[in-house]
Amino acid sequence: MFNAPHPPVRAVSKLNTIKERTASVHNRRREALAGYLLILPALVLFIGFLGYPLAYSFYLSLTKYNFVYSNTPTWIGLDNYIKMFSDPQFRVALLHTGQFTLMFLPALMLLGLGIASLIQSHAIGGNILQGVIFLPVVVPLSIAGVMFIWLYSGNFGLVNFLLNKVGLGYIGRAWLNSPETALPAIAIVNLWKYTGLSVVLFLAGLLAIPSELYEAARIDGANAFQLLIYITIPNLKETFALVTVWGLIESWKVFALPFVMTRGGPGDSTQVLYLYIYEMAFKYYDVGKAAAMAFFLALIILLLSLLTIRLMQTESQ
Amino acid sequence: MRLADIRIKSVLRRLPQSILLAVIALLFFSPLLWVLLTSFKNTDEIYGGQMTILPEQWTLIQYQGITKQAKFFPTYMMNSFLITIVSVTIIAIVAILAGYSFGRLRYSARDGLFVSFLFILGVPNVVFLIPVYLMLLQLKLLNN
Repeated sequence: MFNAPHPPVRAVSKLNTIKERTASVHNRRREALAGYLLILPALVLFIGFLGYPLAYSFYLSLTKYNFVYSNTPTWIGLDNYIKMFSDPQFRVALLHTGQFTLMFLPALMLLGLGIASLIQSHAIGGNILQGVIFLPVVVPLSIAGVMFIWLYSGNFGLVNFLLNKVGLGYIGRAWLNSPETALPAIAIVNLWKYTGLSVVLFLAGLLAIPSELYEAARIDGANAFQLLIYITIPNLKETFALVTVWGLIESWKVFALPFVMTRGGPGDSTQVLYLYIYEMAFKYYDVGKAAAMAFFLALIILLLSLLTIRLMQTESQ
Repeated sequence: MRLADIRIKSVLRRLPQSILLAVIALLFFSPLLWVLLTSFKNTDEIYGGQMTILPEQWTLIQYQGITKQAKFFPTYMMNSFLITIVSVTIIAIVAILAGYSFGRLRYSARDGLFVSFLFILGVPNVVFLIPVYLMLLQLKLLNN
């Protein structure tokens, strides 16, 4: 029965393909219909809460609109985009965002690589300590901000208390109330929060380096410093790129910490771009200008994100 | 005996980096630890003249204060709870359906939709904040 002669089988199978073909067109249509139906709820939410606001925001960026004084936006074209670069406050905010990046990013990489190599060098309890360093990542930013307001406080703060204990009490101060230290203090909180993630990324990078490379170099008589310079760092190229772009995006988006901790003060010493956009919209009610600056920020972050995607693609190849 | 020797040697060799890592981890942990310890102090001690690390008198008075002083605390908890339950439920249902659609089914607009979803997710929140605020203002959903 199973060894049926060939010709009849062939005939049957031919018939089947025609049937199957019509069936498969039918199926494909049903599959497409199911696909659209299943995506529909997500699409509705997406358009309602993201797509429409995005378009509306772009429209607002081309208008002058103060929603307290007037009900209707006035069309002014690209004026907001052109004028924002001559706004001194905007420039200050850009400058501070840049300064913040310079304080945050290099330290993020050094700490990430340093701690990751310590963990990889078989330090005792490495796994547990890695967990401890990762702990701040799960603390919400705003709560971290409130915590550190207290730690940095002049009279009741842990920082000044410890400085006193070590005999450095004379540099103690209310860290968030002096213009020179407020921004670095906030950068340190950001560092406290994100170093754990950086460690994980670097650890993954380090583990991907084949140990044969180190063995071969050691046989050739390389010392620890040479191992670092000629093997570890070149092989971590992708990790460095990834952490750089990620850290850049985080720096551009810094908002919750200055918002909770200093509100841009003292003076305007912690005024960053994101915070300035927020204030422009909800303190000065100049919605059009705020939207234009928001799109400027979005453009920068979009470019950085595309860069990340490109780097990840080259990494996986 | 020899095996034990090797073990001790290996522990000794790893001691410097272990101590360094432990110090760094302690540094990262200290803010959380301090907040935890402070939660066991009474208010006088927190704002008193002499700062301490360990509470002089361990007390749960601050935790009692949560329920006594902040009489709306249950409401706050309930609000967080409600928001979480409702949004997680909706997200789970919508995301499961959309995920299956993107992952398993074939139709012409699929890839275009997927890329535009990703694209919009990359836009920083502040861009949406303003129009959403205005929408809520117009719907009279604010402050009620």
